[in-house]
Amino acid sequence: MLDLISIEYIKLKNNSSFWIILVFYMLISFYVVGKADSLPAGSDVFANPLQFPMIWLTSTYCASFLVLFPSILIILNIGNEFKYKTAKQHVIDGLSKTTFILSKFISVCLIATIITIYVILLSLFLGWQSGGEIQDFFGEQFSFITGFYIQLIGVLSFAFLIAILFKRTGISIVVFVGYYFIEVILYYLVFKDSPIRDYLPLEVFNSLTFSPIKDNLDSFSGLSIPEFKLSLNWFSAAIGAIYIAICLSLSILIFNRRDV
Amino acid sequence: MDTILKIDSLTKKYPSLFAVSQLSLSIDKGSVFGLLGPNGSGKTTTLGIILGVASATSGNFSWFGKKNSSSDRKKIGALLETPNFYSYLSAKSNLKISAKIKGIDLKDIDRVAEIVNLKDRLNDKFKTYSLGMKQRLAIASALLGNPEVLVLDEPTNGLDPQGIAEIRTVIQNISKMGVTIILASHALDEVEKVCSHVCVIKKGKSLIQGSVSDVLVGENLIEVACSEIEKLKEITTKFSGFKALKEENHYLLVTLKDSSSSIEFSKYLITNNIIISHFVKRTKSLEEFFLETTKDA
Repeated sequence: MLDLISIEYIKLKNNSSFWIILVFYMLISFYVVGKADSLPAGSDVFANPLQFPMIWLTSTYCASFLVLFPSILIILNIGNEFKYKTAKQHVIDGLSKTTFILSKFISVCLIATIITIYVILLSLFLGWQSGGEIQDFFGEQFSFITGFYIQLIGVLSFAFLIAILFKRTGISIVVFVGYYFIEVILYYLVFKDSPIRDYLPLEVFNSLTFSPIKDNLDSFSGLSIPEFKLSLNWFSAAIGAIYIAICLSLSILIFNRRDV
Repeated sequence: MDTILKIDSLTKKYPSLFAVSQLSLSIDKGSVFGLLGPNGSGKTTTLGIILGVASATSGNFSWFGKKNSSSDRKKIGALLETPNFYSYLSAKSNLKISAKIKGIDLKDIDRVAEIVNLKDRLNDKFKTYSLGMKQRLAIASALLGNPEVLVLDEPTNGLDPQGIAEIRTVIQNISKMGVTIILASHALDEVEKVCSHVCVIKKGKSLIQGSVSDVLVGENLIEVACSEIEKLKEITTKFSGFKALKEENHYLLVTLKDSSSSIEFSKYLITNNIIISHFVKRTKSLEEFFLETTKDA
């Protein structure tokens, strides 16, 4: 296990596109979260979205908008294994196909963990700057960090599955972005009047972070929640976890059935 | 003798063809086994199956005489088709990754780099390597942890003569260390020079297999010449042990039946008053044999 983590670490550490995309994501999310208090509707409901405990909603919500960046990172990371034929070499060297997929899933967890830790630090910094009460640090709203972490792993798992399925980076990115549009069509047209629409995968993941702005709540949150909730919807989190398990199982199944 | 690998009626079917068809073979410990065949004959597919990256349509194989598991492959060093490394990583990092997968001490990296003569370039990125160096790095990676078996697929493919010579020296040195080597190649001289056993395959089928010397002396060939070639031809065809005859530039190439010897033939010619100017018992070169067998298969 430790060996597998260090293998993934060697691959990521020396990969310049990993650092470029990660730093880019961090800078943009810092900028976006930092500007949240200048949103027009911001003062409408809450005094300041950057103060504790609201900062946990603000930061996770804003950061989750930028999830495309780490998703591309995962697609590149998996695509490399096929491009350099190292997926094949790892199996030849003695990894079972299942272990290979699990070792790659470590990358998903590593990237999600790095980003989540960054978002926590970012929130602490911005919250502290806005002069929030120290005792509100880890209030009920901190649960949105858990939601954000599940959402990240979820969306990345989905990108992971697509990358395993299509092997080539370019095609995988197109399919991944294309699915966003497909889900919008499914949500607003196909399942318009059906409760199914709240259980579509990206919808479930999106519902794990909320906008701190009340007016936007209905249009952005997944499960139509009649009024603002100040803690994570654990039911959505459980469904998200199920989707993650499905993505991982499908990846293992597909990779095992295929000649690499 | 211990059997390292046993393959039993292995078949791999693609929608339009059989890449491997009913292939059976057995490889003993310590041998250098050549899998010889033209391009597209199913060598790489066979190796891919025994190395766990491709699945067989039917048939079995077993390493080290027991049930297969992926951890067996940690005792096998393999180079399949092309060297597969991350181009943006240094050679050393690439070897680290392989060593960690196989569960081998990282100290072994220096030893294998020494064997393939890459010690001075270990910290350079893989993408800066020449083709020959890439190939040598792949062999170094295969040698990590002193594997019992080395599987090499076309290890000299695309190399210049010097590179080919270097790789061959490496292979011969490794084989002296008692490592079993399975070598797939389309280059006959390579198999002839390096291997102790050979299996010739074409279109996924095994045409012949055995020790290289058995396969080589399988036929009884004699070069013979004299001043009167026409008379020699006529007399030779009447010899009881005669099988076939081919006229070369300055001599006749006579194939005798297995039962008769060159001494009998020479005696027969003398009693028929043929004065011989040239008489050589010849082993058939593997190349001739190879072209012949694969042609009509």
